[in-house]
Amino acid sequence: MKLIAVLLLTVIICAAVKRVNSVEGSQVVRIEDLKANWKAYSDALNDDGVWVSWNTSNKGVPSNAVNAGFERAGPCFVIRADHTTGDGKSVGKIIGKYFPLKKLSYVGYDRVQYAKTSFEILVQTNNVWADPSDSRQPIAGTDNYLICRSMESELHSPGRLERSSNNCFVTQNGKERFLSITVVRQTRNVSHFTYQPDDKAPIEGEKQKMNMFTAINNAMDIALAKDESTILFGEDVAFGGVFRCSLNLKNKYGGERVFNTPLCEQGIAGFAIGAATMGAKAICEIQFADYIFPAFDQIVNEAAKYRYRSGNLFDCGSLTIRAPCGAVGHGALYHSQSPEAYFAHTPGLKIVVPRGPNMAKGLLLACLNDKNPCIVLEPKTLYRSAIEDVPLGYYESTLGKADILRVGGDVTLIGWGTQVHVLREVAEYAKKKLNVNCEVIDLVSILPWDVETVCHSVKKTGRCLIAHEAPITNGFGAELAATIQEECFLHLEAPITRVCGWDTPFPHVFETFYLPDKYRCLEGIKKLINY
Amino acid sequence: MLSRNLCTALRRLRITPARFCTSVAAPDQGNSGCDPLYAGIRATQFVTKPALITPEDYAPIPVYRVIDSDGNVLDSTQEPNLSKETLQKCFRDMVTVNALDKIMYESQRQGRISFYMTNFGEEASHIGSASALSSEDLVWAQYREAGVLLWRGWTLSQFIDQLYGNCDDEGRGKQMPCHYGSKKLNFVTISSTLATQIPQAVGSAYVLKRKPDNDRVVVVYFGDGAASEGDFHAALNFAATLECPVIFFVRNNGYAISTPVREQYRGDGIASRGTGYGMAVLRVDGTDMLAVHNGTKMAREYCLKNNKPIILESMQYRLSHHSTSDDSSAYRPTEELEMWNTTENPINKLKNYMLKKGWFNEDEENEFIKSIRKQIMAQNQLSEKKQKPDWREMFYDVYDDLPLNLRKQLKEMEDHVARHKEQYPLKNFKS
Repeated sequence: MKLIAVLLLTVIICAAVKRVNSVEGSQVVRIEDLKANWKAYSDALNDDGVWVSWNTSNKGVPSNAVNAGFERAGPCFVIRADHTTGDGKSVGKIIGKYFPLKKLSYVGYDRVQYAKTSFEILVQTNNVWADPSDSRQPIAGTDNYLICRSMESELHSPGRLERSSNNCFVTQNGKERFLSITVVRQTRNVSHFTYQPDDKAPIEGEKQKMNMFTAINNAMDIALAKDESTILFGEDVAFGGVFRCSLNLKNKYGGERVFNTPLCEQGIAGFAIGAATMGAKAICEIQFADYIFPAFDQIVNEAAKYRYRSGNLFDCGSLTIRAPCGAVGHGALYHSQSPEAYFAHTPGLKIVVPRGPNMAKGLLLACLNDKNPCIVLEPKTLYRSAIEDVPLGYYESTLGKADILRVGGDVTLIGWGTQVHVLREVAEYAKKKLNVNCEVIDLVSILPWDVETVCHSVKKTGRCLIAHEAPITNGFGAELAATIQEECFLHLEAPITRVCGWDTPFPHVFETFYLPDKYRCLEGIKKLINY
Repeated sequence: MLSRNLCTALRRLRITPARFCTSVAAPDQGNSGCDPLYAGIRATQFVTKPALITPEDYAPIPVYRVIDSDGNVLDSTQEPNLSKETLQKCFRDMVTVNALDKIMYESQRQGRISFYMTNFGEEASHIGSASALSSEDLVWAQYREAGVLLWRGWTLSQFIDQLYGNCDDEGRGKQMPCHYGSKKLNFVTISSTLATQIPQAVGSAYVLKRKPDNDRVVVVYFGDGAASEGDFHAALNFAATLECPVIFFVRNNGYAISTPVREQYRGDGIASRGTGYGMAVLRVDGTDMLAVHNGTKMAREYCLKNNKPIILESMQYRLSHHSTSDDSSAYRPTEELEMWNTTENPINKLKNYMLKKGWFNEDEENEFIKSIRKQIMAQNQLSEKKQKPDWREMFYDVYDDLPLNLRKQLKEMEDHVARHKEQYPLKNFKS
């Protein structure tokens, strides 16, 4: 998001530039089809985008066409077009630009700019441009090139990225040029981690590549099919949810089972408790974990205490609350929080945080089947960026069980959700740079938590680092640390270290400085080792 | 009166008056008044046959309009006496919000800012209300009221610096884009949480009421979705019982993200709830700037004169996507937008009215739009280039001072950043 507008143009004539032209695979559609089936294309539009057949006689551009910026000819949009060289050799599709105001479109090949009248224009609903030094994953799509744009003073031109040099090929003033500083098309992923899929699937059987929201969708699909009493509701759930987790489920199971509620979190939680008390499996979505607090009373005083206060006459065990949580790169105070510790202070609840698609599905199904009210906090940044082969069948991940993701004898690293991926990277780094073998534990379950696995590991390593995004004071790391020192006191070689969010609200432009990133975690490991 | 005294006496004796009084209300006296019997209801009567009262039994609340879509004044007594200059400012502020929205929306699409929320279709409700308020009146806004702030004199640079969260953002880069605030302009900083501002506004109004010779009201803006939150209901009840001079300005725009009003509530809009809480209501056409202006003026006078709250429901349509994170074509047909984009478009309506008065110079206004677009684009470039605030700012304003734990954490991060300069985007931040 930190785009520097004033960048130096360097024109380098490079005859030996490797061309990457093959662009098979991406969906190409006609605008009529896209308009008629916008919903059907909605995933593709949100992910890598679709290419729409277009020509200069059409009016304007399709809505959500990817705008790369402005040049003297007005706003310019990302296109690609087939190109054939002078000697009749097809070189496939090349990235170019289109100026709808002037009805001009160009692609560049071999340092020459070519005008095109027919081409394909890129339509994508969540495109973001970011600095290539940013560690976020750029969209590669099914094409084997990256779309980028150069930024020459105030002018932004789309082009394609030469990966080895990070140079952007653009066409300008009749020439194809390439610019040394570029910005790459990206999805809006958080910058501080690299997602790592699990090594092995939770069960055997047929699998499908899914991102996390699709895996959650799949789990809810199974739950709705399996038990007729299952109902799914929350704000904007009917059209698929703002994170697309309930996509198509209303169509499949009807508006009586999958529905929108009025905008009221305490209402959602209370309604869900009542439904669960009547034996229905109630899955309710709180749109952001940051907005769960109006429901705090219902969850903490009601759901959690239902069984206890009635002498087990009543319970709301078939209640599961889902809420997206955690950092997302630009969420600021109210779209980034991780409220697990507030709820962990409440006996009667179970709380889990998945680290990826497989686990998200398994945990959700386990929560639905569990006889106690459960909260699933889903790291929202993983919805699209985390992709795994997910078994299509029914399976449950064990509640209350931590996962050892990497075995090591020197330091135990404990995290959950997105932070697990930071720690995996840190462990790799610690091995390479410091020759320290870290054991990485995904706590998975916040309440109840797996004391046995954690303490067994810490007794082995004698050193422990806990990292979470929530503020350090009274974060769940504090509870872990207290129990670990009690259970492992004589085994500890160094004080338990916590690397967490600072004791401030979650800030907007300072997110990079707020998060317990890999550099801070690595410092923590050094401190433990050198104690 | 006699029976009221009787009931009061009975209450003192801890005898349930209702029971007693019911028994004296003989069946053949079915229509006898019941004013004295129950606390907390209006004077009514006993009946001997039960009759349900359904929502249809209430007359629908009318929508107040001053002009039609062609700009004709419907009732000449209702034409507000706005000068040519004032009307021109109204119009220009509306098109400025519109231009700002278009350019900043595109800037988000280009990845220059992280998020944006547009105000398309709702400009008249902002400017119509803002122009009828005193600039001393306190505004608690939701997040789609940019026009109110613009009317009060917030500058383009203030808007755009906030959107970039740069070093000149008065909010110091803490919040997402569109979370504006200005102490000077009596506009409380916006929070993303919905409806939380509504009871807060009531508290503010209570304090104003206690001031001698108070001539300020509080106006709190929110949408049809936020009105479903518990905070909304708490606010109405507090405002009514504590008699606070607050205007509950509802922007009823048809949608809460994807949820249409049909799935949000079943009453007659939001205004109908006012009656239940014992307060006055008024419903206006939110695309008719003049109607919103008159309605707000009336509401304000009512609040001040009576020290009472009012619901002012402004009927309009959210032409915008909810935000840049939303694609409304996934849940509403584009044809639905047609009417609101044309005949019911608030900017067109005002323009038509001004044309009829001979107060609209097409060339001048075109020039104005051109120049405002230029200004916004130039400011956009400028704001984008500014550095973010010093990253240490992150630790400040959690409390009024920097307590020990934050001092230690700040020092720890300073040391860390010093050791790992290359890992942090320091060049983008002031130091």
